[in-house]
Amino acid sequence: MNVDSKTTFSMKDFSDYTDLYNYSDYNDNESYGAGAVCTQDSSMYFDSIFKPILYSLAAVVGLLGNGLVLIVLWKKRAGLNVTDIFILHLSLADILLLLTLPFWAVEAVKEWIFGTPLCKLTGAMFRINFYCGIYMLSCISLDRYLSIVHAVQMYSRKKPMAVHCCCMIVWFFCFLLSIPDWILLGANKDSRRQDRTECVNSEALSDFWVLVNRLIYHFLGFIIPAIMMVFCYTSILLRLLLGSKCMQKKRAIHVIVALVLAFFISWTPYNIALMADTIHTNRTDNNQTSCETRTTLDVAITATSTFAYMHCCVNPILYAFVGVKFRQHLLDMLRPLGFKLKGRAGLVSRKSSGWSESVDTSHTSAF
Amino acid sequence: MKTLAAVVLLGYLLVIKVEGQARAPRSRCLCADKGVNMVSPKLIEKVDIIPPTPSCGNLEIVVTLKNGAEPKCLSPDSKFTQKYLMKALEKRTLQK
Repeated sequence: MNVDSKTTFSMKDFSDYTDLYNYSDYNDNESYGAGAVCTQDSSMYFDSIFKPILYSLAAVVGLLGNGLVLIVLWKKRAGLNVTDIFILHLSLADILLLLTLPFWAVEAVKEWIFGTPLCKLTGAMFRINFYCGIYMLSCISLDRYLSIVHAVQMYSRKKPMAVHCCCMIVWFFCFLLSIPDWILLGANKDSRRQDRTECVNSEALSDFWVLVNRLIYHFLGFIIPAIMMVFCYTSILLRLLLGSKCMQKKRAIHVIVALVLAFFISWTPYNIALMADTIHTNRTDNNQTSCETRTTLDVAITATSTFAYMHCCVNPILYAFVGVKFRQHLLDMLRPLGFKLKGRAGLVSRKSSGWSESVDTSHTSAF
Repeated sequence: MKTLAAVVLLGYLLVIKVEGQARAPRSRCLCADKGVNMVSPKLIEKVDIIPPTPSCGNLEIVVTLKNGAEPKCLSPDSKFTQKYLMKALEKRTLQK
């Protein structure tokens, strides 16, 4: 049966078949509820309310925080250390990702009205920066691990270009991951989704490739970065717990715990929702399934993915603003604008970091 | 150099089929199962044949019933479908 677009027949189309009304192909084995139709109306309605509100909030808060980070680091670009450079690239990735959110919000409320070229650009930009943000976090954790636990400088402060090259490699790898988007994404009308045009792949994937893609995402986008972060920061914590206690050390421990928790709180629910959806989809092929389950999964994926994007808003706080030196840079920048500083703030100074065996680490903006 | 080669190779492999995972597009067909083999003609108001679209790779047949009854999915492979819808489709195609 070859059908190119949605085709509708009324009973007039069958008026020629006099034997139709006597036809019997009834199967007694068909269970109650067989032939159920699962519309996507309720999940689409949820998207049209939830996404605009949350995406707008994320875009405003995130752009403000990350923008501030970029400005401060740019002003101090001559004296950036290794971690600062990674944070710079992290903020850039977060900003670019957040800039795509308004487009998806409009798509959820109305439909994709921006055409295919912008669909490809927005989708690819989203993916590049989605992965790039996660990998920059991994690079930061690795850099800290090498500096603190092994007292090894991955890059010398005198060679910032080496760090930028590392970042460019990450960007390039993420760009490779986005090439399918440039090729396949388009503004396509879907008669299953209220005949709305959406920015999606032009063709549905076979179940096999859907599964492969999910697995690739889980590993590249979550499991590998998570393992890296857990390993690096656990090693750092163990190192910090040795030796004498001091306030600075306690503070560093709190920061580490906070940023690891933030990563897992942001991304784990989303990965669980995706896994549940994958399992559910595979099960659907074999036997009957509940429409309510599908709707619940759709809503869960929308909610958890949005929650995950909020991580872009939290990054500036966890990685930049916690740093004493960073705040000092910020105050230095604000002072010419006429802000009056309290006497104590103006005299902010840092005692030597006894717990650090690395000279460079003591200058990091983030600790 | 080996690292770069590995990265390029991995990138090449990923390029072949990596799809939109970041925004979690997923398969969402209208029919929860394969559908029923037959629907009583007396109850039929209209029949929609929906081809594969971005959100679903299957051809699906949705029967809207009279009296506000729940719509039903009709199996594309059943004898009923093959006999009657196929003819109606061919007839319409010829009219174009």
